[in-house]
Amino acid sequence: MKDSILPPKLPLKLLRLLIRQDFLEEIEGDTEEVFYDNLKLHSVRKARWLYIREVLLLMRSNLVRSPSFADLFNRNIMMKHYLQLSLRRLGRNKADSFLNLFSLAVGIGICLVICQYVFSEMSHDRMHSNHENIYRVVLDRFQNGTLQVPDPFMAHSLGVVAEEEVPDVVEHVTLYVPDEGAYVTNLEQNLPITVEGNDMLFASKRFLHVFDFPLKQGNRETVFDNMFNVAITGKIAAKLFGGTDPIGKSLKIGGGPSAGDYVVSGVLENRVTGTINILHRVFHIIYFPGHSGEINPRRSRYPIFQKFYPGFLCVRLIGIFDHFI
Amino acid sequence: MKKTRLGEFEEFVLLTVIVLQERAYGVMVKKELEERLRTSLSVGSVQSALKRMEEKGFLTSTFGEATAKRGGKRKRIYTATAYAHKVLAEIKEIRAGLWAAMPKLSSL
Repeated sequence: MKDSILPPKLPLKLLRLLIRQDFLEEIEGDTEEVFYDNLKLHSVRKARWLYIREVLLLMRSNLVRSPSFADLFNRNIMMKHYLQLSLRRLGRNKADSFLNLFSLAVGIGICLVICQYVFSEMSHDRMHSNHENIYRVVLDRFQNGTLQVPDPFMAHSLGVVAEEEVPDVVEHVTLYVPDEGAYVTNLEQNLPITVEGNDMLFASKRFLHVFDFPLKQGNRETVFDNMFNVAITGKIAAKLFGGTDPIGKSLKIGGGPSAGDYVVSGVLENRVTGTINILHRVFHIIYFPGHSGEINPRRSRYPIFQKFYPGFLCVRLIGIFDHFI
Repeated sequence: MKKTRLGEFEEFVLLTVIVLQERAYGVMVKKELEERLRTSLSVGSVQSALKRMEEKGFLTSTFGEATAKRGGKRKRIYTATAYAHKVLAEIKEIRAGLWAAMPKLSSL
């Protein structure tokens, strides 16, 4: 009866898996012979335990397979098999596979868009060290008692008066994007390039104090000290001056609201992003308004940013500005 | 002697293989040694010693017959090489010399 009892399966599998192939027949035979000898002397349970012990004691460095036994689990082979199986499965159920893959692709795409949106929202304007204290002033215009679309453009004088009258306002910046483009010429080489109006930005004097747009060249403190100074991006500097240093060189702006001769006082990094990019463009020329382009206090279409002292609550804006308008 | 690299247990196994002659396969070597050493040995320890000595050139092996008791697996019969006999003779000679040189103790 005991002859029909077999050695336990799991240790036997372990033995076959780990013992070197050239030793396996002999060692498996030896352990089996010892198992049947033990069956004659002991109970089945004890013989099985002794078999397990023998198998475990066989795990010696010169008896187990070399690391090449890992070839059984070779990743390349596994991947190849997985790929084959997947392709067969895809081919077998074409409609289902298309539906699955298409929905997966759409899902991943939407997820990426959401991630990008969240990242953009979380990092928006964080490049400016004062981002917590800088506010864009938005005007709520009412018509017949009904609120119209909030208007981001207003009179330049609002910023000036607010800075004088409201103790919490540290300083303000008025911006103006001209509608007309201009010819810009390097006076030394007389090489004109065309710049669209949308690529130019008039900014009041404190522009680079309120915002931390990186300057490649020039002094942040003095870049707009003079009405005839202009800051240009590296891209325009390369076009106008090639590899030479543009700082202190003259350029002529022809046409547009601010025609005249200017001196380059700063070179900005090519990328200017954030709320200033609210109009979704990169400004290549930023200059303090001079000549006929000087900010008109009566004009009412300027975006205004105000920098407040830290801790100022945004909700107070409503009460403060009501009496200016 | 310096190059023999034969441990004590290996020496026992080697001598047992020579004693058993054509019956010298794993389980039989184990049983014979367990009787003589009066201790229990595992298949692993005997097999490990046999493989080590085969690698060192003390043993050669050939497959023997398969039996039902072994689940149809063949035995591997080990034979000591001439080199093994020479090394064993050297060891015996060294030991005999040492025993001869040992002063007679009253207790022995």
